[in-house]
Amino acid sequence: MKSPLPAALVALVLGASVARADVPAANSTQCQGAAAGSACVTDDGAAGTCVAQLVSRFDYSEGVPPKTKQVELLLCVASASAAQATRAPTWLAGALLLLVMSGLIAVKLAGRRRSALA
Amino acid sequence: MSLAQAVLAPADAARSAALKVLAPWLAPLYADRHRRVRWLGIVSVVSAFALTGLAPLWSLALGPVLLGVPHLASDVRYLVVRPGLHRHAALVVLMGAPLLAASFGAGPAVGMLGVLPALFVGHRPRWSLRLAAALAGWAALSWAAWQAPFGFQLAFVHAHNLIAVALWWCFTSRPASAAWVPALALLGTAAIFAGALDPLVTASGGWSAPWTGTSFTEFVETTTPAMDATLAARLVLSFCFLQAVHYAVWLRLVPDDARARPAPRTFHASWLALVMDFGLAPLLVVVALALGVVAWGLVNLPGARLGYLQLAAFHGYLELAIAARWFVHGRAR
Repeated sequence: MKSPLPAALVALVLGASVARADVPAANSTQCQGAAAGSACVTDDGAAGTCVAQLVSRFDYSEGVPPKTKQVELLLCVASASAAQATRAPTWLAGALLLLVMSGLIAVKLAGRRRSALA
Repeated sequence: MSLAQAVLAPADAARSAALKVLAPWLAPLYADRHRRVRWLGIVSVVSAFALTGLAPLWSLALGPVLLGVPHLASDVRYLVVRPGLHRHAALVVLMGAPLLAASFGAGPAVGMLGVLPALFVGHRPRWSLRLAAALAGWAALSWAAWQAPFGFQLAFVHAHNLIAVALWWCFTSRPASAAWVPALALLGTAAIFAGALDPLVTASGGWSAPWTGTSFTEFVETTTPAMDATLAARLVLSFCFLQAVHYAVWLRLVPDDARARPAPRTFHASWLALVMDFGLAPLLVVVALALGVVAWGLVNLPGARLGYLQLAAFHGYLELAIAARWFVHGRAR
C-alpha cells in the first residue's frame, strides 16, 4: 500500500518558503570565529577582509521581546587587495550537473547493452 | 569474551536489572513493537518539548556534538546500507559526489544534484506522474537553491527535521495510532509559535547560557530569516524542538522499526548488528569520529558544533534524495 505521506512530504518541501536572510548584520556571518584582518567573502561574493565595526544587535538574554544593544562585530568589508578567499566556484554546480547527467546516461546505456546481450 | 562484549557487559547488566524492576509497568508498553515505538515516539516528542522549554541553548549546543555523528551513521545505515543502495557503484559515485561536495562547502544547488541519481539509478526509465512531479520538484528547489543559496539553506535546515519524521512514517506500515507521534510534533511546533514555551524559557533562565559559548542572538541571526524578533526566537525554539525529535527518529524509532526481531536486544547484540551492516573498520572510523567530535566539544564547544554541522551538510540532501526515490519507486527498492 502506498502511503500518501510521500506526496505530503514533497508538498511540504516545495511549499517551504525561501527565506530572506537580512536579520544578521549584513556581511557578519562570514567573520564569525575569525580574527580581524582575516580574508572573507562578502554577501555579494567579493573578496574582503574582516573588520571590527559597531552594529546594532538584538539581545535575547532576558527573553522576548529582545532589547537592542550596540556591539562591536567583525564585518566582511570588500577589498580589492584582500587575499582571495575560498568559496565554491559557481561553475562547480554546472560541472557536477554535467558529471551526474553523463553518469546517468552511461549507466542507462550500459543497462540497455546488457539487456540486448541477454 | 570479545572486547566489545567486555565493554558493553556492564551496560547490558544494568539495563537488564532496570527492566526486571520496571517490568510490571513497562511490559505492556514494551512487549509489542508497534506499541513500543509509538510510546517511545510520544515520550521522545514530549521530552524534546520539555528540554526546549528548560534548556534550549544547551540542547542546541550539545545535541549535535553528542548525537550528531551517531544520527548520521543511522541515516546512512537505514537509507543506504540496509536497502543495499551502496552496492550500486553508479549510485554511490553519482549521488555521493554532490553530497560530499555539499559537506565540503559547495552550495545547496550542488547538494540538490544528489536527488537525480536517486531517482534514476537502479530502475528502468519508466515515466510516471510521480517521476514527473519529483523532477518538477527537484527543478524548482534547485532553481531556488541557485538563486538564493543562503535563504534556501535556512528553509532546508528547518524542513529537513520534518523530512526525517515523514521518512519514519513511511518506513514501515504502522497502525493509525502511530500518527500521535507526528501529530504531537506538529502540535508542539504550533504551540511554540504561539508562544507557549516563552514563559517556561524565561522561568528556567534558558534565554542565556554563556557556558555554551553561544547565544540566542547568534541562533536567530544564523537560522532565521528576516522577521519579527519574537517570532524569530520562536523559530529557533521550534528548530531546537524538531532537531531533538529528528535525533530521536534516527537513533530510537527507526532502529526499533527496522530490527529483524520484534523484541528489544542487548547493547552487545546491537553492536554486532552494526558490525554486520557497516563492517568493523568503517564502524570504528564512525566511533572515532563520534568520540572525536565529543572531545573537540570539551575543548571548544561552539567550534565542535560548527565543525559537525559542516560535516553533516550532506545528510539533509541524502534524506531528500531517498524520500524522492521512495516517492517515485516505493520504499526500499
